[in-house]
Amino acid sequence: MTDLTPATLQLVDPTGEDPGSRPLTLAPRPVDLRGKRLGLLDNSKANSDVILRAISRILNEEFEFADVFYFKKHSASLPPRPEVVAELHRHADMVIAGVGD
Amino acid sequence: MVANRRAPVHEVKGTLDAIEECYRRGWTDGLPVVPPTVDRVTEMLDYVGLAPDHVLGEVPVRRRALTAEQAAANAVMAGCLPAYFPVVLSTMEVLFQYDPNCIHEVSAATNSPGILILVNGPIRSRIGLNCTDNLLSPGNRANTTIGRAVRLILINVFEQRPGILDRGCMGSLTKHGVCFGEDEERSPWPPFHVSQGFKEENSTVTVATIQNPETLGNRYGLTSESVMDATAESMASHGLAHYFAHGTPWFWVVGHWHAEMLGRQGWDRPRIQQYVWERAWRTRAHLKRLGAITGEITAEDDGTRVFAAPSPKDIFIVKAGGDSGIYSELMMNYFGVLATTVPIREP
Repeated sequence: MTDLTPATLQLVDPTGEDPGSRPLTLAPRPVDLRGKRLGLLDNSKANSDVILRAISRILNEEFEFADVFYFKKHSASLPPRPEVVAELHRHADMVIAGVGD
Repeated sequence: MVANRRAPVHEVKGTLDAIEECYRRGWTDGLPVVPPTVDRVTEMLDYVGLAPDHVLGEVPVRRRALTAEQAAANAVMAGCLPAYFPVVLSTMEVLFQYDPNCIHEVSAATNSPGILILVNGPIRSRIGLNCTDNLLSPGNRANTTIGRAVRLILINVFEQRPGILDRGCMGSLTKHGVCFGEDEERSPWPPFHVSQGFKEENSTVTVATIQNPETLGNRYGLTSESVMDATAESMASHGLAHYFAHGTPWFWVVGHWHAEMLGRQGWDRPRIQQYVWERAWRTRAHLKRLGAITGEITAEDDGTRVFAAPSPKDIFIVKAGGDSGIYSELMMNYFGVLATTVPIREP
């Protein structure tokens, strides 16, 4: 007699392990932007520089930044290299990251 | 980085129900998959001699790693035989070693690049890999399932799901997988991997991110020059690729009769590369007018040549495809993963 009971299959889960959420601590915000050092992180897409510099000019009229430090990522789809992040930490009190295209 | 543990196992009653369960859990690429049963995954791992929790690589920006077990499960789902698994693993090895985050990049990129998996050496015949007719079509198990396994790994393990972390704008047929072998046996030139410094008896995989291929239909030219001129012309206009700002590598998959003519008329790889490279350019002014490069057109732009490839050696000549007609294929190697050739680790 043929056994018509459906077989039980054991399926190996092919998905990646969710790394899970982890609490993020936000960097402390400057109370006042006046005289601070502004960082601009260009994601390398066309016109990112145009947008970022325009934003910088507009904000600078009000906040008179001590310095504006501009950096361009090596790739639009990859995170900035660690040395770039280190430079941003060194030269800027806050950073605006932007996409154009 | 989260340490990987063993993959969970899910019980399902019935094979057809298991296929539907894989859909329900979001494990597929839209087509049905082979349910990744424990025994089939074990068979895949045993073939290559890897422990299930062996970590193949990590993608830091995704905070995820790939275990051998996860790779095997996705290869089973794709329909791979164990003999194909070394090609899948060697492809993943290239991606992990190229840049830890390139696996994220290849799916995040809005130009929707696919992953070319070009195979050379004796493994081609051992696994029945197609190198000729209908080269880029469905119909061959090895060709279709190897590329599919890589895509399923990206989707399932690294969550590169369309519209979520896969930000391809128009998408691409190449994301179904572009895996084929070079037709070394009927090529007038040394095998591609030999030109890259490997021995003929080595089996290798060349991995590169590519845009949608373009069919090259010079069917009536009687000289090699006409064929190469047509290729150069296609390179210069292919998709208005704005990567022309700095050039990019290219694959010219030379079809059978184009290769036969080139070989018969005495053209070797270096001469072909030089000839085509010199002619594959547009002026900067033209590219700006077409919106392929940004910026106002300046006086010097009309006299400035923007070459499609940075140098002649960036035009890779590979012989493959059928002989039913007179065609070649052109593939741009988007700079996400520049062409990289490695030996395939076989058991």
